[in-house]
Amino acid sequence: MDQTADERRSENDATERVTPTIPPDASERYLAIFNAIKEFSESDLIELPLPQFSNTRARTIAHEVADLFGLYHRSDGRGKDRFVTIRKTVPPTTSGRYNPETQTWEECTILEPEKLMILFKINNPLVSIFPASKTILMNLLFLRLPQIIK
Amino acid sequence: MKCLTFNVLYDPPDKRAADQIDYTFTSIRTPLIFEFLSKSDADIITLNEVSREFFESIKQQTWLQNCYFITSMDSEFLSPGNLILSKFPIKTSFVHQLKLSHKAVNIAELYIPGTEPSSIWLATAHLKAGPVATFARMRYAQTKEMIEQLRYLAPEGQWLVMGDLNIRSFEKEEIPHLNSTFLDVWTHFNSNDSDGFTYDPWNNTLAEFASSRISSLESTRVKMANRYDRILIRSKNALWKPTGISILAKEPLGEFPNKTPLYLSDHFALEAEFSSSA
Repeated sequence: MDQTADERRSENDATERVTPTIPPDASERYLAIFNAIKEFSESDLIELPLPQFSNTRARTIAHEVADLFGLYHRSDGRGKDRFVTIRKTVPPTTSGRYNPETQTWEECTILEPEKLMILFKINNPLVSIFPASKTILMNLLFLRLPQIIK
Repeated sequence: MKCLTFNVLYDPPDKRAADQIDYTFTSIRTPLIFEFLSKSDADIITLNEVSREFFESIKQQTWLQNCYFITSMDSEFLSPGNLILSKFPIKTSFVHQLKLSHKAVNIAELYIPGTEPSSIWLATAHLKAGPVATFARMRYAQTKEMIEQLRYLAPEGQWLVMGDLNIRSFEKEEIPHLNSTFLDVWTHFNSNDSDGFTYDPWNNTLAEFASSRISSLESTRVKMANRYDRILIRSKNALWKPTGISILAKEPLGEFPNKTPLYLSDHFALEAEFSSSA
């Protein structure tokens, strides 16, 4: 309802994304990272790992430049293996379904639904005759059948 | 495929008046909202303004447990209150933080058996509210960002957008990229100047109450009805065709203890149906 501090700060900002520019005093390393990220932002790729820029300073630059382009960025790994990965979309979150056996909501993994479909066609003639049966079939197919197979 | 979107009105305790009284009667409305959602039997439901309490409570509902997948396992991903319930399995889900505000867009890829392609990409968001030009510019940018995310994830996909987009139809707020990308199901079945108000302070006392404090700016505290909630579709190869749309939860269900009419929320719900050509 009320504005947040960020929103108040941004009131006078242009909402259109401004194309980032290279600072005049940019180092060669900055330039290399900037160009790699710029090229990525213009490509169809979703994710760009940057293991070639793994030292602390390079990672800092990668985070800064990713921010300029409005991209997601995070460091993973330890020691010399630590590097930044840049993404255009946030990594997936977990969805859930209820497991009646444990009576808890559990992280959901779809068990190759295409294969399940071969076993049990949702376009079963029964569905067109009794629309309510669709819910029952869906329930059986996606909630119960994997458990029965197990 | 029946799709329903509903802003269920969160009344945060820290925004209440000094008396700390819940004038929106959350504890009375919540079970009635559950009953309404259950009876709707919609295949896809998007909710906005879902509080952690509402989220924990809805997860205990048998109808939800029996039939629906949910996008959020943890209330940490709820912020700022978007929740997707789907009878179709959720293959992947994302929470994308929108720039320049605390708002987010939730995107889920739903697996729909028997269609080709077998996925539909659903996005729900509760965009920045408010009548001033700055907020309109934010909505303009936020809708652009939402489309950008859908393009990254599924450039050729079937896209469905549902939720409280806060677009001020009364002022003819125009968002060209939204209009050019999607079919607005309401205007598809109704003329452009048809009201379609899903938020109406003149006919919903909860909306009247909410609009009295929607902004800290005195000048923007106006009672204005709007078509804030939308259902939009981009259906490639005309796979999904809208077959109808209606506004629900418009009538009071009785009275609150203070004798004001009992509405489920300050918004009305919006429900659309689609048929598949597959």
